[in-house]
Amino acid sequence: MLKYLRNKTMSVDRTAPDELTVFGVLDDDLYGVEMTAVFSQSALEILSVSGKWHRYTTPECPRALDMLQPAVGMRLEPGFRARVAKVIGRGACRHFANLLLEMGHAAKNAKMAIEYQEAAALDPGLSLEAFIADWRPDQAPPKAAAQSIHVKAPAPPQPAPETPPLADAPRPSGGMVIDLHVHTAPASPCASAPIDEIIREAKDLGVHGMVVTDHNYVWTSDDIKRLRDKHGFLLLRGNEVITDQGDVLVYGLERDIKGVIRIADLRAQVIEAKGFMVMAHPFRGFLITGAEQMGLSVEQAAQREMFKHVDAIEVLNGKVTPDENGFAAKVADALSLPGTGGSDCHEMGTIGCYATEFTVDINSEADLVQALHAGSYRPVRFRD
Amino acid sequence: MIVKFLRNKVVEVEPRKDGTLRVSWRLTDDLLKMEVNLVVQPPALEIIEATAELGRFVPKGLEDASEIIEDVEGVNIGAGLRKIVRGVLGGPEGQSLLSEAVLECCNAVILHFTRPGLEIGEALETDEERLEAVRAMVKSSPRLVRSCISFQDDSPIMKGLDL
Repeated sequence: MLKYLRNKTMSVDRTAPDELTVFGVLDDDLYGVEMTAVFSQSALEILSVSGKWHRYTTPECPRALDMLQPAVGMRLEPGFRARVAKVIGRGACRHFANLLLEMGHAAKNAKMAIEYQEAAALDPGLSLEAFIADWRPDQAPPKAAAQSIHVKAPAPPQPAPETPPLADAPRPSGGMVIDLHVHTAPASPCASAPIDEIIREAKDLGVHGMVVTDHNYVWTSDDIKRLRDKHGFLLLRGNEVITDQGDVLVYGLERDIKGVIRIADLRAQVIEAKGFMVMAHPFRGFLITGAEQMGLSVEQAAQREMFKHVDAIEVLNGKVTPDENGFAAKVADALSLPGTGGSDCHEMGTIGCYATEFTVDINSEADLVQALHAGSYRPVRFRD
Repeated sequence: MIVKFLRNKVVEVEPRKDGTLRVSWRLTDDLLKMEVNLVVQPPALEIIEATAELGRFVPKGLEDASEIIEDVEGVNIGAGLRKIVRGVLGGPEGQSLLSEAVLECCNAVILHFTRPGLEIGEALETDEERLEAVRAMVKSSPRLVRSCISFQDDSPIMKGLDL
């Protein structure tokens, strides 16, 4: 018997010479929403939008209807997906955002179909395949001032707060405390805090050092030295690499890895460089459900492919729930793998919530990798 | 008025006797006919089988979709899913139609597991009990905070939660 089914339907009418009216419905076991959006055909700009609920899950969901208007003025151009996800998804409802993205895609295809029909009327021999091969949606007239609809820019959605600290996580006991997992802007597109500000905050807090682990980004040693000298603070380089098995923190590998790499291939490179690999937040769940709801046991989790290729597991991460951190710690125990801690800081106010305490002095990236291999550390809760 | 363009999409999750989930995703519109099927193994939610079939006007680069999609076999529906799926299916400039289809399949699996928890809350008798159930859900899943209008700071749901 089916336990989940989602239908999405879209229809596009040409309601004026330069207007495409898109009607969309998203209907599944949990949510039922419909939207009507008018796009300009020339620029694929949203001219108006309205929505309606049929099924929802919290008493506050209906308020989302008032928050759809910031979509007016958005165009189908690079960045459209991210804008809709941020402004409509977070500011209103992710299901309306999902539907609006689908409607935008339908509007684009309708524009292509209409323009093909017009071209084929002039050139009856023109095949659809040949037309599509050369067609570009941005071959549109410039945005006319008369079509512009000015709306007040919505306040950017605030990021989710840090998760509550794991109450029984150990506190530092006099060792050297280093945050092993830090993101900075603009090196990590998902981060909002510049590195200078994060360093200042870390120093004020009393963290002894931090490792920048921007996503698939390698800082130059010159930049790091300049920042160390400027702030008089221990700044080291790492990397958070996207693998087919999830995010992996890598220390001691100075290589610019783009895209997604197979974890086994990354392992080979790290071994060659004598570096160190930590599986980052291995049980980070979804909005509502997590490993616990899936019925995943520690023994089953320990069998996962990802753990065959790492030297340690991040068991204290500032972006996951206490239960998820606790579960990661149990899996690390089961595998006899050491655990690390890091804030996974992306914005101000979050650095150092978790960190790793070393029993030896760390002054360089070589020191760090050596101490990690030697096991001279433990994960700690640092900031309340 | 004759409609200019029509699209239907459906995704369904079917538990099978062997404990796996079969996810079937189908798209039909004026230009494209496309089908993606995944087999997902709980509880790790590993994609153990992935197939794709396209017809009508197949977009450039997707002629070998049935082979390309095999690259998601072995991927777990879990942390970093979007980056991983978009990455293994060709990177940010790659096969967006195929990767978005796989991501919609994965989202359906997540919602399949989300449903039972929401059903428990819905079965409660009073509005106050249901509100408390939602608040308990937020407390146990802080990622919900500010994730949509229901969980913004000014929402009555968030009153007194101190998150």
